[in-house]
Amino acid sequence: MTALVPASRLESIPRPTSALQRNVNLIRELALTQFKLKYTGSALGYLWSLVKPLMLFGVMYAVFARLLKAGAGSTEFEVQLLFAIVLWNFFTEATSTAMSSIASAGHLIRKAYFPRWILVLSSTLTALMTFIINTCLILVITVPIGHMHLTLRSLTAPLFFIEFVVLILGLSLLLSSLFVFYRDIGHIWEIISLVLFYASTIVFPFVVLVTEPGAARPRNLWFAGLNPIAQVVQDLRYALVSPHLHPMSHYLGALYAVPLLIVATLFGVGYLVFHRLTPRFAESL
Amino acid sequence: MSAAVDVTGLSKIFRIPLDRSSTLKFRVTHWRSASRYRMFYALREVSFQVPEGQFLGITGPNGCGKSTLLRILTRIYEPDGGEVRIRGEVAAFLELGVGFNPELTARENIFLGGAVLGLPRRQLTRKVDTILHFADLEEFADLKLKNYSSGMQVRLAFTVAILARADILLMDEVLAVGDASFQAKCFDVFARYKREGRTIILVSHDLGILDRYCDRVLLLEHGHITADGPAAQVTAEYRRATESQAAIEARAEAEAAILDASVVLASSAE
Repeated sequence: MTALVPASRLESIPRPTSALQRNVNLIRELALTQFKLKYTGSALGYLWSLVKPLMLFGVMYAVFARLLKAGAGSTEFEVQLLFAIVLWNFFTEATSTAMSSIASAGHLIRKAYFPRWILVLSSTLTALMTFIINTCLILVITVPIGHMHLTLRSLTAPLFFIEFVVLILGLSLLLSSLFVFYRDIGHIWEIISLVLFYASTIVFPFVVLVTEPGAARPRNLWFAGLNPIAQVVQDLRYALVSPHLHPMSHYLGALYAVPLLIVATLFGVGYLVFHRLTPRFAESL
Repeated sequence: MSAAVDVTGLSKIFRIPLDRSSTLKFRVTHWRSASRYRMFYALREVSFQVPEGQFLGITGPNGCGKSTLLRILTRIYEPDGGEVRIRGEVAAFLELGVGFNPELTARENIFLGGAVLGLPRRQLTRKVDTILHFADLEEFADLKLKNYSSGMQVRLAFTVAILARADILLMDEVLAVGDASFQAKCFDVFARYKREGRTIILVSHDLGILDRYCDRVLLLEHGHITADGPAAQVTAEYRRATESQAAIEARAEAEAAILDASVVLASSAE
């Protein structure tokens, strides 16, 4: 047994004076921990996060591309599909883990003070880490085959991705704060997600939804245009995979502002609701 | 001396729902009654100042509002009235090892628990070995926390806790855990903090500890401050009050017992 060192020998550590620095540090620790915990203890570890989207891709490819010939008009529909599924996987994983991020951190919230949005942001970052690794693996596979068409237009991709992340953050703030008080939100969100999955033209090309054979004008535009996920998926497909696709602005024209406004509004509403409910978290958990 | 902590007219009301349910269905089906609740005044117009460098103890019976007060000081709860002004860096310990995860190793938990206290990874990395040595856990650095004995967990948590440099320390019954040697170590740190002139607020039931370390003690009852003064005086007063309360209860119990006995006697005599 070693003797205990007297307390005076352990120097205390000055804490950064800026709240931003402390918050960034806490976000990083929480996100890394969640990521680590998610994949430790299972035999395949991180690979599980790849198996899930790949399996979904396999099933959707078999059903839609092969059986229903959904991507018949598009040459690299497989890549479009895989790409969209990885994006979708990020969306559902981020929103569903963020939703319970406040409710499941009751102990932390009741015993320590820090800005509560840190919990939401760190769970989004955990999902983002999985997404980035998945995307890298896909790029490693698809770029050499020549299925990614990266030209000048691809430079717009980060903008659409940022739009996607803002949408996810807005929804996460809204869902996580409401979930503390109404646990039904969990079930409701599951159902909405299922509808969104098919409404967001992930498993079939956007053209299928909006064009009617023989008709001059596109159909379903209001329905499709209202959905920012469909817009992001279509624009990212155009920017990174298939230059011969039409970007969303081609279909929507001036209506292109609608999905953008929805994203901005959702973020605003999410922020306000979260801000409003934050003082009640510690008392309700 | 200027006040490190200035509390004026602090009130906290808890709304205790009469029909507790957290589902939307309930809200929809009981929309008329869903907002019925009982008001519970945890704190009523509490005011006090803590001068810089003072060691203040807060005590009182269960449910008197002392933990609520501490949570408002640490900003975990928002007050419903009044104001708290704090001058200086605050470190709050409502419990040891907040943020620790049982699935992580001691090393990893140092970073996580440290981050919750506001300690940056870079600074902690340099001190990990010292921290483990201080907590006497060098051999178990890479063992998961769930496999630790509770004593080992407390040692690690305490070591991380005293790393945070702060002018004002807020503590809630941290001393309730750990064995005698651990408590002695806590007292060492307390004595050092006191020497260094830090402001400390300690919430505790242990009148002995309050007596020994605090300059001043607040007695809180039903959300009011009912006594405020030198530690020895307030603890003596509170001891007398609880003792006489206990004496009254004991006498009532004894009388009831005598009554019972006489009933038994009477019935056996019949």
